[in-house]
Amino acid sequence: MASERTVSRAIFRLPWDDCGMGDSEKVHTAQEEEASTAEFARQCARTWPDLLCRGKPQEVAGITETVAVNEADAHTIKVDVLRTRGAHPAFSAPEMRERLQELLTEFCIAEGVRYMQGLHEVAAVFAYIEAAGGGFHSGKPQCPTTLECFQMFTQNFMPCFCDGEGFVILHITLLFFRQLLLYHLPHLHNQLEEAGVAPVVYATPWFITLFAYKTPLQVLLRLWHRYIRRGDPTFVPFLAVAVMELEKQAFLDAEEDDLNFAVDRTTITSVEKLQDVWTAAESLHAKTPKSFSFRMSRIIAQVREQLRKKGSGHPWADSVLARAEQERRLVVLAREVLAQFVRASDPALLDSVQAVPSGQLPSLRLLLLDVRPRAAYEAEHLPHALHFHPPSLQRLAQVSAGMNRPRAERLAAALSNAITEVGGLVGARKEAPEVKAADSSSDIGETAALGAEVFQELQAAASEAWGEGWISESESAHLAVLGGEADWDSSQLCKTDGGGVVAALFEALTGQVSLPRVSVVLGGAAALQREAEKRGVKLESSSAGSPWKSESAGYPGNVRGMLSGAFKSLRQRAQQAQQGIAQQIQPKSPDAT
Amino acid sequence: MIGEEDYDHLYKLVLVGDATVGKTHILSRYIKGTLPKAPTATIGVEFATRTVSLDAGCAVKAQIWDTAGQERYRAITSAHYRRAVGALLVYDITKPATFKSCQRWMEELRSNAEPDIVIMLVGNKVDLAEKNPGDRQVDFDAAADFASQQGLLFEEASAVTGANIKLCFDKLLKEIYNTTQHRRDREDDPTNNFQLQGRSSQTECAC
Repeated sequence: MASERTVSRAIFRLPWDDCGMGDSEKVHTAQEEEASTAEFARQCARTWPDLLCRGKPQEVAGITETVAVNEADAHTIKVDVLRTRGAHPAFSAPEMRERLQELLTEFCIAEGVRYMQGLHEVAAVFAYIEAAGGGFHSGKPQCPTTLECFQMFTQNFMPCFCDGEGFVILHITLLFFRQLLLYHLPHLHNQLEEAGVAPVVYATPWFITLFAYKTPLQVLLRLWHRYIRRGDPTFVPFLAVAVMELEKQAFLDAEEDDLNFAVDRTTITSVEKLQDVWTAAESLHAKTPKSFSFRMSRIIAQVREQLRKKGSGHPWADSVLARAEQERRLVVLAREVLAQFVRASDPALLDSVQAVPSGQLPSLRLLLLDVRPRAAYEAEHLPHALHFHPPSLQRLAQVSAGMNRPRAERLAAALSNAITEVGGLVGARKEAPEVKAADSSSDIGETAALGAEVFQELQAAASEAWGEGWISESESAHLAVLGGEADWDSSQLCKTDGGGVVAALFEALTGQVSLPRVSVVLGGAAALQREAEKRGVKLESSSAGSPWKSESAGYPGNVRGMLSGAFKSLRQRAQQAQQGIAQQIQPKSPDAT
Repeated sequence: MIGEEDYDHLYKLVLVGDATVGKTHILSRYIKGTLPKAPTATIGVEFATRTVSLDAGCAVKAQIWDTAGQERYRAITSAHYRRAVGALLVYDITKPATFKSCQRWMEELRSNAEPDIVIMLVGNKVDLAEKNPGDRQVDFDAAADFASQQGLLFEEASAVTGANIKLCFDKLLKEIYNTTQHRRDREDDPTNNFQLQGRSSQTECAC
């Protein structure tokens, strides 16, 4: 039982709040470690209920007809309980096993779901905390039960567990994870992809059990505590990429045949490593366009809503996945591009175009590459955008569109294979294009040569516009590619064969050159124009015939000049709009920490 | 045992079958010679390798993918079968439902793995039937018939006692070797992609 003193302490502030929950403590013997884990669990017992309830009321599960788990599930639960954290002494006690079994059974009944292996690893944490802390405690009059804490955790923090039968959310999460990996670690991403090491193989347990699988309990409790306190489920892909980043060298050094093994072995093995992973994840988060988390949280929220309404067998799931599959490219929303552009010119105006759901918009050095045909660019563009539409890029796009896009196709095919068997999702997936056994090697050669040529030209143009170091790691610039009408279809999907150049350029830069931090502006110029109009930001037109290289020459002054006249009215409009925008883009995302 | 890096062929094998039939136990027995100290339910996939020399004089490296068995995971596990040339399809001889599932597992293997994947059907937990004959719920003959109808290899085994475990893998690897050798002879194509990057010394087989 927690004393009153400790409970009140929990309400205000805990001594370990500021020191990473005792992450730095060194434990030596197994006994000391166990004592420290139990102590930490007691602290979790006192703090988690309030943290889990924070912001979000517990969702009411849909009408459930389940009154008992079926025989097969009951058997699997029973066997899984016997093999839960077998190396940990607490889990060999019969009462712990009994409690775990009870918790799992009650969970499945309360949520109206079938038992899924992996859930036992999650439940184990709650059973352990309950045992160590004598139950969960809250400063509030009504403290949720252990089962309720367990339910709130899965509902609010484990999106992949509310996935129905179709694993739709898991696949979407894996896609976002892959985007993020490609964005920050393109070399590693490409190497894994070439070796056929798919995220669905190695990262599934991370997302399905939220790292509970194979992470030592003393590490896991601290990881989850930080994660719950942070309050943002879209942080999980950052953790996963951080885990990969820390092991990057081992992966790059591994033989291709052994890469699956190397990646699969990757876990957070110690409290010290957790600290490293967490720091790396926060750093990645700060270096990523906010659009990423915003979109991920929005898409998952929409999918969950649909799952609740329609179940995973409905054809909508198919279209969601088909759409998600095409989103290999990390996209930035037009309003974030605009916000960064205004930040560069007049930060005081930033509020008017805040793109973020909440919290702070990270300051990114966003370089906008306008790849539309010259006429479209000249008609209207952001003043500091660099126009880039050389003949080599057009040729590259033509060749790529005709040659079956091997890399993207391979990924799509791999994913399709995984999705094909999903209940109710068959049909369209079955017809997904199979990888052609032999791409024309001359096409591949031509693409490679063209890709290199395009990159050289980009390098020259960008160096002139943005400085020699525009691409260097230290500059940490983010390159956002802005396409036009030919690049986007009516449902805002990036076209690969419609005469646009975005998809081919993205592929060349990320797949071939392994350039980090390349994104695509969602919806292209049309979306940007709409946003600019909405926010009262005027786009610029340039006289026909001016060479694109020189257009960017005076960009900071240019920006100021362009904006100066509009500032006054913009401020007024911004203030009026701000409230509306805030409501519009403040989602249900529990992003605030 | 041969050095890990000294092999002529690399074969990807998958271990499939319903949850709790003992796939991970079989793997542990084969790779380490013991049962897992702290057994866990496999989430996603686990990997292990073992390099063995075949009678023919070739060294093959078996890259074994141990998959999650629960039905709910099938949507994901089918992604694990790609490029697999062999499979151990395991059921529990004391649980008829696990044998019944074999048909479905087999179909999934055939549609997701290499088209002429070699499958070894394994009836696990014979130790239970030896201790108490009443525990046996799947007849040897019924399983053997099913295997021969479907063109599967078949053995009964016990991960607990170790009986037949090595035999299962040896027979499977040998059959894969024969199949791919036959294919190589037939196609006379040295770059045949059935031979997954045989590496190391790149020595030709003595066979």
